[in-house]
Amino acid sequence: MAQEQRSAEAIRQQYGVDEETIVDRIRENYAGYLFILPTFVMFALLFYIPIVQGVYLTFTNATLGGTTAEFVGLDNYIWLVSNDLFVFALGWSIVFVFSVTAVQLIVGLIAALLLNEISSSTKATLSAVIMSPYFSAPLAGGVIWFWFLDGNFGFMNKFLIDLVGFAPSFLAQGLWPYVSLIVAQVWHDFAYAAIIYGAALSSVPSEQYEAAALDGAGRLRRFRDVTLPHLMIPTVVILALRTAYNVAEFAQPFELTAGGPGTRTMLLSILTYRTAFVNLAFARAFTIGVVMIVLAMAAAILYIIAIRQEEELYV
Amino acid sequence: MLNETRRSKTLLWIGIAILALWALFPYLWVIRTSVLTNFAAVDPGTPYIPPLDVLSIDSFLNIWNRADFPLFFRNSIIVALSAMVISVAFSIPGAYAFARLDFPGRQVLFYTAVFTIMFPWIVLTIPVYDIFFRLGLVNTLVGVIIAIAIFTLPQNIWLLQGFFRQGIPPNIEEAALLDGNTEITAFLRIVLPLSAPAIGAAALFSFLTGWNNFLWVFVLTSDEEVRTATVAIHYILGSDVLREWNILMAAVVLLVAPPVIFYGLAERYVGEGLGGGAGR
Repeated sequence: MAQEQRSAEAIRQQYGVDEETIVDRIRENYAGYLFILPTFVMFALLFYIPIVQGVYLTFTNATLGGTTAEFVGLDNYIWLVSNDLFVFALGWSIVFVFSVTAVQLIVGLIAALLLNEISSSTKATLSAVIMSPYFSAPLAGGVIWFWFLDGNFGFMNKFLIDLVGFAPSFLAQGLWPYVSLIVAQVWHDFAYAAIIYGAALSSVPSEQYEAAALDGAGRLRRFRDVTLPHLMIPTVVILALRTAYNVAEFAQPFELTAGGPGTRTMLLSILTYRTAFVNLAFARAFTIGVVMIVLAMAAAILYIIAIRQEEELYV
Repeated sequence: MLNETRRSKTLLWIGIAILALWALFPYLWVIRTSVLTNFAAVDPGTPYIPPLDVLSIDSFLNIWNRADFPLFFRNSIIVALSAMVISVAFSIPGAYAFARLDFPGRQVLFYTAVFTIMFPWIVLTIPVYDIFFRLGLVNTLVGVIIAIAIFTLPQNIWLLQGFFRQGIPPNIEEAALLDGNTEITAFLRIVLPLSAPAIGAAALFSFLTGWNNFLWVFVLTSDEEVRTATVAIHYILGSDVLREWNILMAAVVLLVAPPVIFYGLAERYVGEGLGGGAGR
């Protein structure tokens, strides 16, 4: 009997299994819970409760200002997949998010690599200049590009007419609105990738470069064998975060084309806004939102897997 | 870095110049319009680099008696400042708990906080509008402030917990605990004073995020009295009320300048702490 007890105790010690009640655990960690309580309340108020309420909404026919909302089952989801505009917006959003994220990654990497080569005296100023679009309000980004591409007063218009005698309508004609939206979005946020890559590059020990150079490795080989391995996790981090942000992006595309001309550049975020606050169909709007949440959540899971591996650096 | 040749150095500077041009060019066109006279701003004959006689800073002087711009910018400051105070006050204990204190449920909460950073907020505006509508917070500055405070909260927690984790050695608190402090007094007496610079940085960021915010103000308000500068510029651009392009572009310059300048000055100081999504 005594021996049995001792072995149970030994097992507990070995595996760290403690027998304690919930009250014990709260008492033991009261400081942690006390510190986290304000955050938790804030998140609950504007995050957990609204999401639960929103998901519930998708099974009703709630409208803005409507007094009664009836339970309609999966009707909203059926409406969603049979709605041409939604299907188009989903497809275009995926194209938009993937191309913007990919180009942001490449331009950001180039910017980080070039800035990393500069001596420290001018580096801070130059990176502040090159990163500056990221810090402007996204709405202002939309206005800035609207003005840059405007058919009457824009730079591109004036420049092309002076150069070749005509200019396409960058925000209305053919494929141009799609290109304009992607270019403007890359402009606004490429610095994010540059900042993360820059931090990763500055943490590469210089001895590794010197050792590789002593072994006769050229510039390209040094990049491939020394730099590249250090950039793998930052790449996943940037891909995941930028994918989520680009899915969520609203202000800049909304200001630039607002989904137009007509509905030809409709993104999911703009469609969600229009359905909710122009057509006042709250339930349907959140149903579109559920699709956006799923896309963002897929990116978030990728991100969490990535930061878990190097928690020291990124958590 | 090593064996720098003249040719690669030239290529480097050409690359840097192209990047700087790419980043600055759209800005320059806006700045150019903002310093033109009313007529020159819409005259297609105005040269790329305008001559001195059509340059004027009138737009920056006249903006203060046009279209309630003083009110809009004042609202922007009120909203950003109040949201900053609330958000920082709430994020300090939260960030400290995530960084240092171990308690059951910490990880789940932490990853939820990570997800809030990545959440498509446009979706959240729908139920939040519904809740605020019932609470009578729609179309009030208070409602906007609460929404933006919570919007900037994850970003602040992220920034501060990184600082607590890396900037403050744990043995400082261990020493304080041995001296008879509890976890709370150790935090208040030792950690908090040491964190002043990081808290200042977090405050600056949340101010600028509030300043830049468009979505919440746009969705939660409709009256002009509670409009901030971002939303006001959106409405003016979409209407025919004010077609003085130089004044509108001057407003854009005033909107963009504070964050760009402050972040530019703080850039080396924060590094990857910007991960919270300042540009949203």
